[in-house]
Amino acid sequence: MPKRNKASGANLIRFKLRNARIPDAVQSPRLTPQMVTSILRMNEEAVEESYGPVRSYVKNQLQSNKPIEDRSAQGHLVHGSASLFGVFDGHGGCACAQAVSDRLLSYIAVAMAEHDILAAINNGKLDPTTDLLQHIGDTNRLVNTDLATVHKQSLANFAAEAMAIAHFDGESVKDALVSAFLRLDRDIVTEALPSNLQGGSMDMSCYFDTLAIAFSGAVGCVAYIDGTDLFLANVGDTQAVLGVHNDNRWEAVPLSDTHNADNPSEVERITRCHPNEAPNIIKNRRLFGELVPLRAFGDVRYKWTKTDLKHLLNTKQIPKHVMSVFGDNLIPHKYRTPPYLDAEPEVMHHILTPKDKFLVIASDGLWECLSPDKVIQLVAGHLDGQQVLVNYKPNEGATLKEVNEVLSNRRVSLKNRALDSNTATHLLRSALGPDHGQVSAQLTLPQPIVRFYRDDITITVIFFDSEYIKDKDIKHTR
Amino acid sequence: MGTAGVKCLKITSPSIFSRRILPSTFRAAAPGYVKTRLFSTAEGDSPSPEPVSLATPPKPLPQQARVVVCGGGVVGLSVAYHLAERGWTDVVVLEQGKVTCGTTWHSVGLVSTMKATRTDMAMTRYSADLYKQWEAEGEGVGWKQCGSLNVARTLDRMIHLKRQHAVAKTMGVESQVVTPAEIQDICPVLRVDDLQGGLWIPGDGALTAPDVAMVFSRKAKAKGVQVIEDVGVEKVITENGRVSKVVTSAGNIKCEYFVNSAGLWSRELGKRTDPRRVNVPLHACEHYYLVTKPITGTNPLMPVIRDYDGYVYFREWNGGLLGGGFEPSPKPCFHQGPPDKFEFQLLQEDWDHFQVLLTEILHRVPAMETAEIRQLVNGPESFTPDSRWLLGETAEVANYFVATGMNSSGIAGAGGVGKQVADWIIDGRPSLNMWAYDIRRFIGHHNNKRFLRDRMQESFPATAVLKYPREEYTTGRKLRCSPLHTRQEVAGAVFGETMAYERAMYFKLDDDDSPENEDRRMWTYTKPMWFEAAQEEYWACKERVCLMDMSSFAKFELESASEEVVDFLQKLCSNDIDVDIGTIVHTGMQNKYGGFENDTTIARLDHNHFYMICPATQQSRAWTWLARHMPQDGSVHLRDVTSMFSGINIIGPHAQQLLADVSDISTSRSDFRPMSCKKIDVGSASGVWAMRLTHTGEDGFILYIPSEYALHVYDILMSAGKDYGVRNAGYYALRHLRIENFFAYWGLDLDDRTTPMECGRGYRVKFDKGDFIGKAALEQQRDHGVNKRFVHFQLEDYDVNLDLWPWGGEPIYRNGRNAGLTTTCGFGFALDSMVCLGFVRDFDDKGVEQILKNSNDFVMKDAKYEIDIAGTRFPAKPSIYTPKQNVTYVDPSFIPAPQKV
Repeated sequence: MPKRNKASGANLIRFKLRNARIPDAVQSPRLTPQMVTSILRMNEEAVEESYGPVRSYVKNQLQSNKPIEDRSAQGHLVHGSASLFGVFDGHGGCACAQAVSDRLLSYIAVAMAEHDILAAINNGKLDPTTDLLQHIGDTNRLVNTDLATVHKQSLANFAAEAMAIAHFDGESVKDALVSAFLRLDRDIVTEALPSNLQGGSMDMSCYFDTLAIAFSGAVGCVAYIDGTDLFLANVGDTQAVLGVHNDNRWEAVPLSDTHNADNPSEVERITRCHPNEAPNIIKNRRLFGELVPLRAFGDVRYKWTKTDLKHLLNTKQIPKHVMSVFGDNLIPHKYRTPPYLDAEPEVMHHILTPKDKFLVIASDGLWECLSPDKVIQLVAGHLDGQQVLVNYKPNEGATLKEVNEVLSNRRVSLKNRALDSNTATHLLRSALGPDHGQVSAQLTLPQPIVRFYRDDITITVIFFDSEYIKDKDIKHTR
Repeated sequence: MGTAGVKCLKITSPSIFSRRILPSTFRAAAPGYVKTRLFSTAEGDSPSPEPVSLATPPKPLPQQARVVVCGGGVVGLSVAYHLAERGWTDVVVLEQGKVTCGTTWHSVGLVSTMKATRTDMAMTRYSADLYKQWEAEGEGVGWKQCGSLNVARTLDRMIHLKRQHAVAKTMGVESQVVTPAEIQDICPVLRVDDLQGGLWIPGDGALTAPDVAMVFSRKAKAKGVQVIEDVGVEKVITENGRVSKVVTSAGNIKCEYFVNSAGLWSRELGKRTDPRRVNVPLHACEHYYLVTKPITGTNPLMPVIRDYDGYVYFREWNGGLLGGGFEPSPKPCFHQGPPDKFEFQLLQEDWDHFQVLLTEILHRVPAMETAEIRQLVNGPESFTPDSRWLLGETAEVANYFVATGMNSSGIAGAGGVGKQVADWIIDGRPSLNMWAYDIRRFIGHHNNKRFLRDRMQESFPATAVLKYPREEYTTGRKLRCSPLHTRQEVAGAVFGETMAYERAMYFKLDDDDSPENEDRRMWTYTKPMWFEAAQEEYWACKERVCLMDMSSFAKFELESASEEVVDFLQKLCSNDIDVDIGTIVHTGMQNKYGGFENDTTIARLDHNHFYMICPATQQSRAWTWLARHMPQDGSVHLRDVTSMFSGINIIGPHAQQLLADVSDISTSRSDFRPMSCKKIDVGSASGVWAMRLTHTGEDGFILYIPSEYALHVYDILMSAGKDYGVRNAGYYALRHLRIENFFAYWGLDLDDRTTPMECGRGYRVKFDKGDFIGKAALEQQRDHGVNKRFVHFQLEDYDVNLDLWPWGGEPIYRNGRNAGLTTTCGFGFALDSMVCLGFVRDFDDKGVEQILKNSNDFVMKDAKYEIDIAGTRFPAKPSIYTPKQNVTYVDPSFIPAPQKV
């Protein structure tokens, strides 16, 4: 489901009428199989570099919103051996998700940095945006230099405060992750405060950018992998599921809770913070009847004080149309005790074992189509199909019985061989179809309609190196 | 040529092949090789480099030769050998690589005589006898008479084996039906607990295939045949539709005859015929077998095992075992044509593909589980659309012969095939009825590459998979459909295919899909599920009126400016076709031996304009026969109008009234005589040729309608016929009608070795009309007696619901002595008995046909008949005329019309 339903009902009816006269899109695909495949593969990515327990990862993305509001980012910490994988799902535009994907991993890097490194940042020897984190894979980097300067300054401030107050002690990864998330959200919220404009620290266009970021929102999930330690920090309804191979069976182990109204403890958490407001806050299973996730970056409409919001409305420099997307309801109805929303992540810690074969992180667009169990089965099947080598040759001296046993197993695996070699693409195709007619119909839905059928989908699958984990495991237990 | 994508493996030694094609002289010079070990190449053997060839060193190509054979495989060499044996020694064999380098060299070398039909058996037995004789003469073909054991997992397979056994018995081929316990005794390594039984053929054996080719080559060369290697045929040039010249990589050879024995390359070679290409419909397919390292305790004389319910076969191989098979879902290869250079090469082996066979192999011979692999062999072989060999003269070019498409039984077939093709070239016809292998059984569409590739899914496994009588193919269907096809489909038609033409076999009854009919089978040895439907249609033809789609029949028009066409047809036909305009004549077209080249119905439309209808299977063959005999001056025009006209047969007692209702003409017998034709209007359609005849003996009309009007005519007849109880009928009804009525059909009962005198059609031969082809032979038979006589049998003590059915090919016993085989069989609903048609012969003790001076007496006097169905002999009542049927025709007015829906 999209976060906000802006398309009018009339549009939908018009579309349905028109649609009723044209051939069924599933029965009469409008795309050729080749076209479907090239669309599905457009954003696919596979990185086969082994790094610690991570053997490789693949990712893919399919847009529903235009432009797409999902983002993803990956990187290694330069100091240390940890890898980071993040999937972010924006709403109300892509600005916030873009900012979070640009900045969050660096914030984590700063939060993880030890004293010496923070000191080096403070005296200018290290650039916190470039020298702490090595990005891997394709990343959409922000090009607006003014904005980058603002962001960099915020990060530097974070580094300075971290050094002064509570730098990383090498132990509490969880705390570091929480502080990075919270700090980034705080920075997003404060950078857009009207006072910044009046203080003259930003020019107009740059300020508008920060506003766009702050008024849109994003949820996200970041995996922190170091040795056999796997931490998952999650905000909102992006999910991470671990594929565990146990006694020849595949098991889906969720490593995140979704923060939405389906989660009773989340609802309880919010109502506890805002006693007596319960009926006003959660309406139609949404925050103020508007927002699906109950934790998010940005979305200052639920974070700023009423005064700040009103102030913004009355600021003359801000053209009316910027705020007009919210209509007359910039301030939610019965907005009494903000903030109602924050970006504190729920962090789960999992010790990797050789049975843990892969981790799937994906935006809710995927989980709306496929259950975690189904996703794990699909990846496992795909893995199996992928692992069979094309040309089997029996070993010298093997008996026919042995050969036949190997071949029987291969037979099952060969059945799993999929059209797409990229696991994320395979999931994407399975989520939409998998039959050609269905995929074609999904991919040809017109723009105002497509959001009613599916959300943006972003999938990252991280494959673990069981040998590495086994090795670490033994050392660990010793 | 798309050779880039083809993965080929050059054999590297040591392999099982490296020594298989050494010349015997080389063997003598290499002491230490025991003959049976010769092909073993145990690990310690010195690797042999390139195979050494037997052929003569390069010498200049002859300028001309009587026969040029393209292909130095076992088949091409056998043809050359047999030509030389009969004194035709001016023969050149051209091989693009080295002798045997295509597929012969990787042949497993099984020689089985137990085949589907008597002709198959006759040919393979000839091969086996020849190879055995050579081995006895010291020619060294590695012959090992180990016998073969065909085992059955299912009862149906057992019936199949028993049917083969019954036929083998009539030919003196020794075989024995054995129980699982006996199988265990004969071959202790087999698992037998899941077997129903088997057939033991002690005279079968295995040999070394390339050696056979070498002996053919050596013996042919000794008689003067030239075998030239490293010369490829680039083009075959024809003049006036005959072979004139072969263009090779080393120069041109003028020749009279050309034989395409190019195996995998045959189809491509056929295309390189100038100016008109020759269709050689075959496709390559991967064929796998596995050879193990020696297994202790393996009996060197272990029989060849065929466990075809598991798709696999076995033979002993140098102390180890060889197991291969014909799996379903095979892998066709060389779709773009084989590479030019593919000598002593195999394809990349696909173990995963082989797994299905490996499981079956290990299942049947558990002892192989601990064996180690010597090699998995993936050798391409060529297969034809119906899994039968491609032999004989092509329809496109005179004197262009083919002997190819061996469907993985090249060694077993080579001897017999070589002999038949050599006879065919020299005598103008083979010594056996070769119609089943005759390349003219195909039409152009069969050469379609995609069709061929699709059909591989059925024709490759056909060697192993049990094919029931009349079972239809499922691939390559719906190619040629009549305009009535969709109407029939809606009416519940179940289609069969002849020459790719879809024909309704029967129309489903309402309760055909009901649960109590669930167990009944379309393809079976017993009463099939279409029986009741065919019965209904049969009675509708007998008592009411039916419409049958006859569009698949081959149709020709012949015309000339003046009398030429009459003279031409008079020469070809044994009946007198110089009849009144509007008259129809049934006539045979005889060859010089009096046999039926064609059996046709000819209507004289005008003085010099004839319309000719032939069986669908004759489309290529009839054309060829007509075209080859046409006056050279081009005065006679021949047109194939098969696709132009659709045929609807209105059959049954109400046909006369029904046609009158829709055509505004009088159809009374006096106004529209039987065996006459008129051009009439039907409904609003014009230009319909109506002929008062049926092919079953009932009254009725066949309408030949310009195809675009066919649907209109059909709809008009259907609606007008409502009150007459009109319905659709299919070919099963037709077949039952005509078998009961003792109507012989060409291709099923009649062939080019059957004369009109032998099938009771002497009355259609007009000796006094002047000369015609075959006249002398028929006069000879008229005056001195015939070789065989066509007889109508009714089985007695036979239960159509319970007993196994006869399907054609069952042995006929006269006073306990074999007298031939049945041709076609079907239930006679009016006679209420199973009817078998077949030819009765008088064989002497050596199995040679005796002349029947008085065939009527021989058949009918002092003769008790039995027909052997899978080992059970049923008494049979003979008749040489159509027996009287106990059918009373009710006055049409009293037959209730079917209820309205």
